[in-house]
Amino acid sequence: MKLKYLLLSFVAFAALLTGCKEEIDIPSLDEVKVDMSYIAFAKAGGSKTITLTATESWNITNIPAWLTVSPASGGAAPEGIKVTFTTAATDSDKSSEVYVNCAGKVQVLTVKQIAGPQVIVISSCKDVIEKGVDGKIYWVEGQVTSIANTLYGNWYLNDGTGTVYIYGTLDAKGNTQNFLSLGLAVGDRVMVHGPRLTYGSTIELVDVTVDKITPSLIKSSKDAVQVPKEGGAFEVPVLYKGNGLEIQYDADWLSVKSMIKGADDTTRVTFVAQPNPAGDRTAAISMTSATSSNSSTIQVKVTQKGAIIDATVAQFIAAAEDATQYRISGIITRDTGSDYGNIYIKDATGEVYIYGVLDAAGKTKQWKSMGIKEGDIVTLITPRGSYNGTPQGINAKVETHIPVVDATVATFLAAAEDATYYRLVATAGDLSGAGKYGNFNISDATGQVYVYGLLSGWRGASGQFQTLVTETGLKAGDLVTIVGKRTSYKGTPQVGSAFYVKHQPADA
Amino acid sequence: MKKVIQCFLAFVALIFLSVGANAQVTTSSLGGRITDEAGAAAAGVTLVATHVPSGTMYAAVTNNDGRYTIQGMRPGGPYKVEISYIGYQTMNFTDITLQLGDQYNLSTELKEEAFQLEDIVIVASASSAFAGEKFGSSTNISNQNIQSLPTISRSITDVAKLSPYGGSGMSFAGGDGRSSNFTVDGANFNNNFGLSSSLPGGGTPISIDAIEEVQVVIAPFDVRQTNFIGGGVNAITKSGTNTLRGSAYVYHRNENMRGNTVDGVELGNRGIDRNTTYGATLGGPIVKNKLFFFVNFEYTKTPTIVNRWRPSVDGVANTDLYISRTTMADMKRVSDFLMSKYGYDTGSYTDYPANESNMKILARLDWNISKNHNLAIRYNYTLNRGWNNTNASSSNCIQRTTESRLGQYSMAFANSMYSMDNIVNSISVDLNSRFGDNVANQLLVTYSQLDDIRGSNSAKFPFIDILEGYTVNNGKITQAIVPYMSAGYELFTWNNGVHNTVINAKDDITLYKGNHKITAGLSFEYQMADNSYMRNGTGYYRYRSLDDFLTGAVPETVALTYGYDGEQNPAARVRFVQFGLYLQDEWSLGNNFKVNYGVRLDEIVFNNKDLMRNNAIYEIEYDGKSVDTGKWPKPKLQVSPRIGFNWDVFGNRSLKVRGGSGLFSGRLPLVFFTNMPTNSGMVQNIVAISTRYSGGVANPDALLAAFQGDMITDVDALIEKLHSLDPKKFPKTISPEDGVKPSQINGIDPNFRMPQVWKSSIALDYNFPTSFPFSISGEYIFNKTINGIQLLNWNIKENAGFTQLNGPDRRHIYPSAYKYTTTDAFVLTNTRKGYGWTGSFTLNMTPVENLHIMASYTHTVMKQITGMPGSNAESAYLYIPTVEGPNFAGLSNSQYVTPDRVIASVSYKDKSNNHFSLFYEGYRGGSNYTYMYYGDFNGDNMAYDVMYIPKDDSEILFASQSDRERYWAYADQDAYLSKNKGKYAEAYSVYSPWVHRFDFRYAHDFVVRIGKTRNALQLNVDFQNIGNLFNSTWGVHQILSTEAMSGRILQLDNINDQGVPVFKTKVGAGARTWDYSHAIGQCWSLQVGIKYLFN
Repeated sequence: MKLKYLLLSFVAFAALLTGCKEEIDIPSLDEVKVDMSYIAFAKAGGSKTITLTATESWNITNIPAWLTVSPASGGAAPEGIKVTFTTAATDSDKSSEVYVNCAGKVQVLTVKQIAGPQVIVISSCKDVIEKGVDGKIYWVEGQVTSIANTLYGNWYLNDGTGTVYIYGTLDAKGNTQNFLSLGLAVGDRVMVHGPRLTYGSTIELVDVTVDKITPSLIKSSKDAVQVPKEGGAFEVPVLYKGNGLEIQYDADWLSVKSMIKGADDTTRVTFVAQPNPAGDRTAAISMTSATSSNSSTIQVKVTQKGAIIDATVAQFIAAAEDATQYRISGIITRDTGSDYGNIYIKDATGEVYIYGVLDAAGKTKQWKSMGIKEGDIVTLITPRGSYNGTPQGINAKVETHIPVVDATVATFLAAAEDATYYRLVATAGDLSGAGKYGNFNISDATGQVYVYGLLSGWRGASGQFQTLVTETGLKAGDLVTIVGKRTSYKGTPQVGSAFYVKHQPADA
Repeated sequence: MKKVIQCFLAFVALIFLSVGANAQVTTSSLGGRITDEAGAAAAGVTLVATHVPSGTMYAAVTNNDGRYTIQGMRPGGPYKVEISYIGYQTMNFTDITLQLGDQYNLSTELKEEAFQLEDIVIVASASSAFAGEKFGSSTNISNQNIQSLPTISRSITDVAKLSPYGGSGMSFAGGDGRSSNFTVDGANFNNNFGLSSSLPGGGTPISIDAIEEVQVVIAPFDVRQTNFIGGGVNAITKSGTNTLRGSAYVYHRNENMRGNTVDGVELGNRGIDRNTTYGATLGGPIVKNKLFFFVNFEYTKTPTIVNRWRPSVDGVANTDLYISRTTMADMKRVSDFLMSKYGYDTGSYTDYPANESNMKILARLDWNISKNHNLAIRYNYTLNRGWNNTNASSSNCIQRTTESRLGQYSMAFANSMYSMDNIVNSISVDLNSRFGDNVANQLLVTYSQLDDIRGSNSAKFPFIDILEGYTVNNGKITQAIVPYMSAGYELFTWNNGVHNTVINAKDDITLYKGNHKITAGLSFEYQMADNSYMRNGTGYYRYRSLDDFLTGAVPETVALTYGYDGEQNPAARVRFVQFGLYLQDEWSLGNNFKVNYGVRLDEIVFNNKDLMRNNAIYEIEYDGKSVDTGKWPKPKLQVSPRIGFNWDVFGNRSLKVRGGSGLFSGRLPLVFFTNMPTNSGMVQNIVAISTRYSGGVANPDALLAAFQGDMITDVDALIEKLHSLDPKKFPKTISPEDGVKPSQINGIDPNFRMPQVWKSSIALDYNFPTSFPFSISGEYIFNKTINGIQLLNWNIKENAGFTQLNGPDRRHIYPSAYKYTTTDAFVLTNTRKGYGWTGSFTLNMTPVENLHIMASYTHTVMKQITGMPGSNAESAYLYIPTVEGPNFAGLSNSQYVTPDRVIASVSYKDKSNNHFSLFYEGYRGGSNYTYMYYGDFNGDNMAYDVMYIPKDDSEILFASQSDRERYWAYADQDAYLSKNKGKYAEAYSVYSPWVHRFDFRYAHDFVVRIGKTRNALQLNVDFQNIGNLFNSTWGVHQILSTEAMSGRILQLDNINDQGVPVFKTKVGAGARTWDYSHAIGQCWSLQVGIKYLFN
């Protein structure tokens, strides 16, 4: 029995002590109460009515212009009074805190009108400039390229298609002349909207609202670097805000030597470029700084002058299409007559089209005044390009130019022995003894001369005469065009360093 | 019934108003009632109790009621007690063991002499554990329990796991570990400052080989115990006896003696992770039966390499080999220069301090001055030392260096490293006296110095940074802030430390009068805690280049922090004294019922001299209030009444009911006090004359030119120099008018009271009528907060008039002007909110000799406003998940609670000297989480807003169908969200799932007897979390998975045109709540030991 009471009292004691639970307390004012304090309207506006109870007289203050409150004040209302809030339709979100004052206490009401998600169409800068209409609001998104005024916020936005001038930027509260509060910097990606205006010849967006800022986590004062052919170190200063700096580059001739953070927080990244044994080359360095939620990348273009590669026309044609410079040499087989100097050149290995020849100053369209004519020998520096799949040289620079002088056999024989190349058009004599090297006589109406070793073309290999005969079908009696120098052997004049240009079969 | 109890409690509350003092329990007692065969009181019976190992004798004579009590006895035993009376047979009781802080009830009937010729010898049975007379809730852990506990850390916190209320460090019954009280021989061993909850001396202030017994108290109703609101741990150290006894031991563990896999995933490279402990104990007589000694020495070494960097020969850095570009030649030049010019020793540049170590020394003397006076003196010293590298790059000279001072770019000398020393220095003097048969007295004086300070091998000398150099263009200096070399006294180390000194003195006098035992006492406590930190306290110079330094060019920066008014150690300091006065009566009503009632009065008086008001702060008004940082709280008398009872229901000790009710007061981490002066800016002047840069071009401060030439290395001379340059900027004294407004204010409510809790408990102990000891206990404790702690930001307006959202979640939304001023004021104040309860069942049995079985289950509930997370006021304020913001926090579960915990232990010792013990611990919770909104939901600029858990889909709007599906998929698999629909989520209420852990210890003794001496060589191995050895998920704690987004699963997308929030779901498809914790500490580990014992 004793035990039973004991256990009972134990349980009762426990129950008593566990009994105190406290719920979460969300208090309200005693003096003034509302049945709804968050008053929200849709885009179309309208009216909302709340019930307000007040122990003493009350009034409502801080009412924004877009809102009507009725009544805005009253006497003690212990039973409650209806207060109606009215707004008109709107295109943009509105929000305000409105105060109900009563007996020295303040009940805050939040009044919001939500225009709903705006249908945002982002226009390209190009479209805004070319197709835009003044007065219409455009959304554009791009990078801040430069800032002209930091009070009003005048700056340039580029989205890759073009650049739009932003004339005036509103701050977060919609005020002007507070641009710095936005913290915008060159390199940041932003989305803004504002009305288009044509001011003089400038197309601009005026007093824009900034919708989104994605601050660039990384900035650099350099976006391109020129490295000499010999290579060496160069520095790219970067300022990054993300977690670390990731560096990538697409060339194996580059390497990172060091990264040192300097006094102004700028990190000096030092790269080393290898000497360039090949032609001009470029590389892109991309540097990325990222946070867990964002990532920014900048590109730095590196160009390195290269050695120029000596190439035969065949090698040139076979080469890859890039910035590598080739030195090709040949005789101009055809001039299309363009001011640009669109020509064909030919050497022993092949013929190729040159699309444009630059003058010594690097200017185009100077061909006609350069004194180079069809049949001359030129050495050109040009990268390998193509047109519709056909290889060509582009904007070639002339390294050497050898004018070729037209001569009859007689004038040739009379000429001095020097470095001048002569073009002879004559009839080929008996080729049966020409052998491997192509030693034979040619003759025209003025005389005959011995050709000593006719090469199959400019800079062709010696000892290939029989191949030339097979390929071209050259035979005795054909009218052959060759180029060569006036040389002699034991006092007897001959055509030396001669090469085949073309021939006209006798029977044609 | 309910009403009756309510009245009873009200009655109790009326009689006593209460407060606390210190839980300083160092002794045991023996008491009882002697009757004759007829049951009549036997007055004048002589009792002599002898502590057999030491021969210490205590005597008493029964009074007219036949009662006797002996106070101030050595805990433990065995004791033998002789009861003699003319005409009656002399009775001898043997093998009595006294528990610390408990009274052993030895009552008996005398037998007339006629029948028997020999004395009666009664051996106390193992059920003597049931002879205790405790009222409230406590657990005693004997030396034997400690020795058989599997432990690797060998720390007191591991021992405290044996309490049903323990298990989580120093946290007991859901309380904050920082407010638990730990005493050793009555001396304060707490981390009073409370920067962390770990104990002083690096976490292990005392060797467990020096501990005799531990008592974990939760709700003792003895007025002598106090200074805790969660729990208290009272430990006493071993004493010497008449037998010379000793031990020597080595424990070792390393990285290969642990698991490295959790849930099948390897935890990475096993780095060097070793630890070796060497120790010895020796105890014995100096004078037999009179004077005894006990000593313990322990040394733990953890090999560590702190600095791998070395200077180069050729100036080329090699990061793979830890070679710096700084050359040996330059370092030698600087070292030689400083030695020859200033006589300063920089320390080596090739050999650097390393290794962590922990040394403990303990010595104790026990002196039986006479039969009636026993004196114990104990001294303990612990030094835990670890080394740290020179600070990497911080300084207060505008531009910090861009690279580390020790690394590929720069080197520092060995004397520029600093140590972290955790020091415990403690003395306890305990005098127990008996005057006649009816008066006993205990005088206990203790001193504890508990410091965590930085140390250095360097002499006091400025710290010097030498930069790599600069260029001059058109007279403009362009400087790269890249370091090259550093020397001198580490710049953040001078006077950097937490100091805590505690002195306690108390005197208890106990009087026996009839069936009353009256205890009266006085206590005194002095406590000093400070946190000092002087950056550049020895001076600081930064030079642009090595040449500039060597030639005495104008430095780039000169800096110094100094105290006003010549104060050498300007620290944020709190000092207080607490006076206590207490009185209690233990009243025996009949043979079977005891009631204990009493009251404690305490008053804390703070020393206001440590503060100076800052008028700039004082002038800021917060709704009519202002913060005075020049005053500590006013003294307040704290009154702590307590009542306890112990009822032996059937008079045969088979069923006991015990319990009580009373107020207890504790402390809060003192850092919350020192935060006030720290942030008031009236303590020290932080000077930095430096150089500003724009785009790398230097603009030096005009004052720098004055420091061209030799460095001023003497701090006083440097202060004079500064003062002469600009007396206004560099004043030597400060007054309240000189205060400036800080960015935030920390204050203390002038009416602040130390935390106080009302504890009530009731317990049943039942002893089964079996042939072997077998008992169960059930215990229920209820805690009600009387004075809780809370931080309020006075700068926040009342929320009653704020806007409320529409929809089911009606919380307030903060308006734009919710603050009074621009300066936040975090003010320490009290709250009455908070309560908690624990229920526990414990089973103890010894079915056969040497086999001990214990099991317990504890359920804990603790509701509070805040657990004061962190040590900084702002973080303690901010990191509280709430509905309405921290100023309006409601009650929630304590972050420290482990709601369900089961422990069990089995230990067995066989006849071949094999010892086996297995300890099981299973618990739910321990990692407690909260479901909150992602980001700030209510506009208070704090992202700790608990979420409203929707009842069903009609109560929540989502931004998209995918958000809806992902939320419900997650919520449906989550137990907490499923069970708590339609409520606000409660802070720290998502408990981690059950974990089951087994620890195992095996030891074998190889015994050789030489003469009377037993020599034993013990080999032992301790396994922690042995289950994990077999399966990599067993015994592994589960934590909130990464997918669960730290519980922030919903994010506000917008508030729609009805004023109702619309949400986005942050958790992905298929997200789960829990994941295994991939931490090394979750894996199994083992430690081996060799111990030599002789006695």
